[in-house]
Amino acid sequence: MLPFEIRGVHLLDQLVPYVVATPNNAAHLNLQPFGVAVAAENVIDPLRLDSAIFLDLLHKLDGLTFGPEGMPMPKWVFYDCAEVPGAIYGLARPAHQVWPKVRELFKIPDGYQGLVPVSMYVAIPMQRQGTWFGHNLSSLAPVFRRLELLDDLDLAGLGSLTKGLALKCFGVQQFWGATQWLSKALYIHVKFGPLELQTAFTPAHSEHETLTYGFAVTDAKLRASMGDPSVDLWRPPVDFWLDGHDILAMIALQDRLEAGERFCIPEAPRRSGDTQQVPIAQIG
Amino acid sequence: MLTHYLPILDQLEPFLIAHDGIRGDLQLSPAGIEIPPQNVFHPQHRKNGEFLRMLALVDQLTFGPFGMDMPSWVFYDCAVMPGAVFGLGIRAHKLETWAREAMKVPADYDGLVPMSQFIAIPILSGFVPGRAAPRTWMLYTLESMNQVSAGIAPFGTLHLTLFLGLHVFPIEELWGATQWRSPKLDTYADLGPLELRTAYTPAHSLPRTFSFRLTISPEHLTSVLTAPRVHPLAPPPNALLDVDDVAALQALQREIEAGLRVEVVGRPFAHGTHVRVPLHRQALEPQGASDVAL
Repeated sequence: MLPFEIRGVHLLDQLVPYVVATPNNAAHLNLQPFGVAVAAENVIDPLRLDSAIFLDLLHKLDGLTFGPEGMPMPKWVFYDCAEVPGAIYGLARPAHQVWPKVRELFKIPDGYQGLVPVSMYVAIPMQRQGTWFGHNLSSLAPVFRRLELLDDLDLAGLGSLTKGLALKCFGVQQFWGATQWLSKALYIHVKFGPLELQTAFTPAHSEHETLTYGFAVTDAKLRASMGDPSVDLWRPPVDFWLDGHDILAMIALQDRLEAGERFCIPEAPRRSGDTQQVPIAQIG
Repeated sequence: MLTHYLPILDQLEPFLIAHDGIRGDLQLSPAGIEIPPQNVFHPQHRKNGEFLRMLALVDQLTFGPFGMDMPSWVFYDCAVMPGAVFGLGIRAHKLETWAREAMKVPADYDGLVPMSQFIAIPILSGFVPGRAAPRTWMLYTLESMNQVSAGIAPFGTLHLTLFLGLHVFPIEELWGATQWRSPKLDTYADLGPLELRTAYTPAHSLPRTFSFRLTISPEHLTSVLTAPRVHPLAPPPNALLDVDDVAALQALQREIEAGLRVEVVGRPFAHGTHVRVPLHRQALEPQGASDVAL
């Protein structure tokens, strides 16, 4: 049980946390983020044969989440970029308790007694202790909605809860990540507070219309992200709005960033027809 | 030591792709070879987009046939943001016409064209007290255009890239993962004895992948370039592994999980279609045994 109030608290009654990390890396993690303990048997070693089915299920979770958007993660990327250098944190359901439709969706092998992941957060350590690059947030919640799998199961807040607990587990002090200007995930990201922009147009990424954002991590921000109503984060006023389809505006903003100006996304975007208006504040 | 590799640098120039946060941790004159300031690229600056596109092509050409080419979003999220890229490149005007076409060099481009790259990213366990940068790194990629177009770059480009790349990054302990049948196993075996962490890896796209760990010493760096027939730090082989025998790989994996220490101690060799990798198998001492011996 978390020591503060959140919207999706019932999720922790229905799901159990897990971590994927090598033994060497696991020793560097907080396996009781905000007091939510990861059981020793739910720390999965990616270097062992008996982890294979669970890791396959994680790959399926990623495919179910990102397949429709065309950015599913190859298995070698999981291994080389996440499981060996960093860690994966998520929430799962024991196979013997898993819902029949989910069992079918994942094609769970007969006799499998392990965990079935319903969410995961993947991050990669950067060049300083406590500095991480967020790589992937997967959650079955939108899949359930899209496929109308379980009408009576409320998975709202699963993504935010998973990311908040994951950042605490990993000991993240400075977070960096990348997303697209039109991504709905921006609504989750701004729950952590204002997002400082590092890029606004990113030719190194498959989608040039990608922004790179970051924030210093505090417990208050993590609690706010998970829905603790007692936390109120300061946000600077909006200076202008950027249309998620306006590439020229992204390039102009990128040029200003490269020239040394500083900007942030202070609050949630606004949907507007088939586009998204993203607020921008100048901070230096 | 570099002497017989130095002619490569008559044609190729070292380059580095590193953001501001990591650049200060890297050696910009590896083994005394200066990376020219104009060849130090910021991965987030728009003007470097063309070079990054050609670098992605190198990866696509070398790893595509394995089904493991790196989408650009993976390059950004998993390589150039957590880590950095070192490599060797050639000025576009020095490339022959066929090579310009192969690399899809735009007609008006006269910058650097990448011919090889070495990428390393930090491993969490490498952060130790009293040291800002991590000591343990994952060898994420090592590739050369010679792998798919022999002669497009000078012979030895891959070895020199590995040698200099290991000098660029502050690596004390190196991890890597590669396929048992990869020709690059020759190069890695030249580094020194590779301690196996996995011998069969279902977590990877290609399960016949092994994962290794190596503590880097000056002897290891030197041996990349000298390619000794017998590595000075390698124990003699006492087993041969058939790398196409999945059951044998799985059996070895179970032994490693049970605590057996196994090292790759030499290059693979082939007789006809049979490929064998020399191993040294050494059971770990029981806990406390060393105390007793002392």
